[in-house]
Amino acid sequence: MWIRIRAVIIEDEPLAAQYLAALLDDTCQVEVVGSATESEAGLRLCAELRPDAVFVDINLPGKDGVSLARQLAMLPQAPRLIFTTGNANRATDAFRLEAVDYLL
Amino acid sequence: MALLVFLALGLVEEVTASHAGWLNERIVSVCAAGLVAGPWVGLAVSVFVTWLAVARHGLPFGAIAISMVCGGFFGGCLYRWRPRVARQPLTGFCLTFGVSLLRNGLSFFYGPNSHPLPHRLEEIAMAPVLQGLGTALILAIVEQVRNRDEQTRAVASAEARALQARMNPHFLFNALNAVAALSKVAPREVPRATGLLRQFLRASFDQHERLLVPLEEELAVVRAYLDIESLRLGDRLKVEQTIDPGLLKVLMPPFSLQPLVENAVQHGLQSSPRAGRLRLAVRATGPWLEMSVSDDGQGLPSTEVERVFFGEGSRVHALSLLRRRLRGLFGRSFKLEVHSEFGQGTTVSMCIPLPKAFRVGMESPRAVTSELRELAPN
Repeated sequence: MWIRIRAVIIEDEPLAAQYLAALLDDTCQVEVVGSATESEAGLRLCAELRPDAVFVDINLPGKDGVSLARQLAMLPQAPRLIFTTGNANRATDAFRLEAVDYLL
Repeated sequence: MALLVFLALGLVEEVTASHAGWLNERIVSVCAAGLVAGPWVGLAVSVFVTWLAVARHGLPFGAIAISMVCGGFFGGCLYRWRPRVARQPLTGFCLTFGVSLLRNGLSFFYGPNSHPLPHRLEEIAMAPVLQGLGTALILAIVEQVRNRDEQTRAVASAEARALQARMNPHFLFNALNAVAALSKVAPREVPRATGLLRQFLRASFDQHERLLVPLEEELAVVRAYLDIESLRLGDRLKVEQTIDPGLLKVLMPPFSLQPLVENAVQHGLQSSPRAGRLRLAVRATGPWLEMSVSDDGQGLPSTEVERVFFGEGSRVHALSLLRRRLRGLFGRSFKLEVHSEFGQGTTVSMCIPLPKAFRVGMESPRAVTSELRELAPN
């Protein structure tokens, strides 16, 4: 039996969120259980849903993805982190936070 | 202008009292007028100096009139048909030399003259050389001034080109990502999206060809830009525009409003999750065409504005480039101002001179407010 990964997407751009959800859906291994467009809502959603993985846009408006990741890591059942963005310069910040992967 | 200068040169003869005839400014002024300003100015100056010479000094009409008109007319013909030859100081020398010889020869032929013969021979030999040198000197000076003008213009145009708004590579990257995403999520939207991108790129490549474009063309670029960003940002980007339709034909530098809008989208919207309202206003304010773009983002402390937007760091901000470009085009008669308060959003306004025909009186501006999304072609 397949084990489906439960994932949350935190992304401010609706098109990018839909695109990522469609790509994840194609894999048949990831189930997107929720999505949020900004950090605060994303953090609440993760605390509530306890996903296995979180896809975080590193350039979120307001509080950015890196500081959100720090807070996610402190959750009781910390999800695995995957950053998504177009900016490769920030990949080093991401790996310092033990991100699993970094999608450009 | 040229006519006045050369008429004045013709008058110099009157005031300098060099009546010996060795240095005859009349011939110099006639030849130089033709060579520098064309046949009509040459003829006008020759008629004027002939009148001076005949009426005031009683010189023989035939000799003076023929030689002067020949000088002005031939000079003018060279100017008209062989402009490069006409510019050469050597041409000026030869023409003046010839005209001077002609004048002296004709005077000798016509004139009852009281001077003794040796003096006349000396005059006939020396005068053409001196007068030829006079014209050559004038042409050399004119040429030098012209060269300097051309150089200044070339430098200014090279600088204007270097300061043209460069396409932000992030924008192109984001736009292509959006097209890739659409092809997966909403394939039917792809042709429209690529069409918008094509329109924007075309305008961006063509901006070097024209120094000024009508406002309506710049607005079309801004609209294409905003529509592309809307693909990506969806409902997060709301645009209100207030544009006086009477101003659509006003000429303005290409890609001058677009950087203001791009700045508002990038910095305004990215700064706060609640932000997303962009206001674009174009109106006539007295002698100015005023364009302003406001966002409701986080804003900056007003003390930081100058450093962030106009600082000379390693990465020059688009607004700093725009300011330099406007200075090159309008000198001191333009305004580019940024108002920002922390927590209050940012407004960038730009004013450029408005031609008189477009200025409105005391009546209220005929403004039309609309949501941009409704105007965009589908």
